[in-house]
Amino acid sequence: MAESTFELIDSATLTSSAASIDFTGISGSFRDLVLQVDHPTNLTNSVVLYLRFNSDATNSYTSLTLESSGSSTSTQNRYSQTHISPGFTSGYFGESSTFNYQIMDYATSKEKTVLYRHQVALYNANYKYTIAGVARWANTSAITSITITGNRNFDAGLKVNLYGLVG
Amino acid sequence: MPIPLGILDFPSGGVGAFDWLETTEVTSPASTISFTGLSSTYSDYTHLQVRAVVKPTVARSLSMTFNGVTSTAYSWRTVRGDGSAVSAQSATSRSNLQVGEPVGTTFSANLYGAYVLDVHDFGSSNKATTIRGILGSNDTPDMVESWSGLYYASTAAIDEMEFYFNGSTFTGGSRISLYGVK
Repeated sequence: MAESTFELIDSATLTSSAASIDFTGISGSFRDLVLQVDHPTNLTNSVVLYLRFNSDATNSYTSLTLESSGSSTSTQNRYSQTHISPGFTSGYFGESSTFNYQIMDYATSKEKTVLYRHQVALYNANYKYTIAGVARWANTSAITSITITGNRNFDAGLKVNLYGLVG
Repeated sequence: MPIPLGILDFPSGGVGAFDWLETTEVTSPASTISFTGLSSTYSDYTHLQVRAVVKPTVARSLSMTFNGVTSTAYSWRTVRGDGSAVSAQSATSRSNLQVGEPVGTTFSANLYGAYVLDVHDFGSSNKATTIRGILGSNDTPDMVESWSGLYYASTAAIDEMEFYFNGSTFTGGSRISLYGVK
């Protein structure tokens, strides 16, 4: 029998500049987590977005991306990183960007695999691309916290939603 | 409310039309994972989403068939990144769909490949069935793929899906979950 499946665990929208957004005390009652980051269209600064689990700052993250700018393709593999790094947010009026992370089997004793997509909408051709990616956190602990940081502070307006997926 | 990404891509919150249907998780090596009775049991749904975290005992591509059909009725296309090159691959007139190659047991014991696949309009009886999705793993082979496939043996509704590895089996801990989209 079908059950209620998709639950909003927590959300945050920055009302002022901030260095990070943290989700803590994540229960293990879901199968997967879905993290959605939406970057508004009127920000001043672009930011390279980082993702970290359980405050683990060791070199235990790998990110592999497949990218298209519309005129060329590329792929990058970032081994032994201290965070997952899928790409830039946009920082120019009229552009928007979204990040969608599928954090699979987050509460199990498997190493954690994250599928993600990232898009920057084209407006004035500063940043424009679409990315498919997979990331690995080489750790078998259940994920109980997620920290989102960047290479600089986030501007007000950045919105992040964390969902739990039953299954 | 998150911005919908694609048609089904990843589920959006607050819509109330995305339901978990069933999960199969194997605790010891298993040759197949199957879902049956789909078109009758889940007739309230238009689309299906398959979410899988799987690993073969010997590195192989994940194979997928519909309605028990193993004739030459499948084709697929994919674009893959492995960290050093982008490649495009395709196949036609095949006896199954091959959906990427998750990590094998010769690599990290606790690492599995991940898949999110959408099966569009699975209950329709007037079209071939289209599947598409994203998949990846971060060990040899490193790969992330944007993948699409077609099952065109008939226009019959999809009543059964079977997953397996040619020449290999699912390791314990592999799981495949099925969701319905109204």
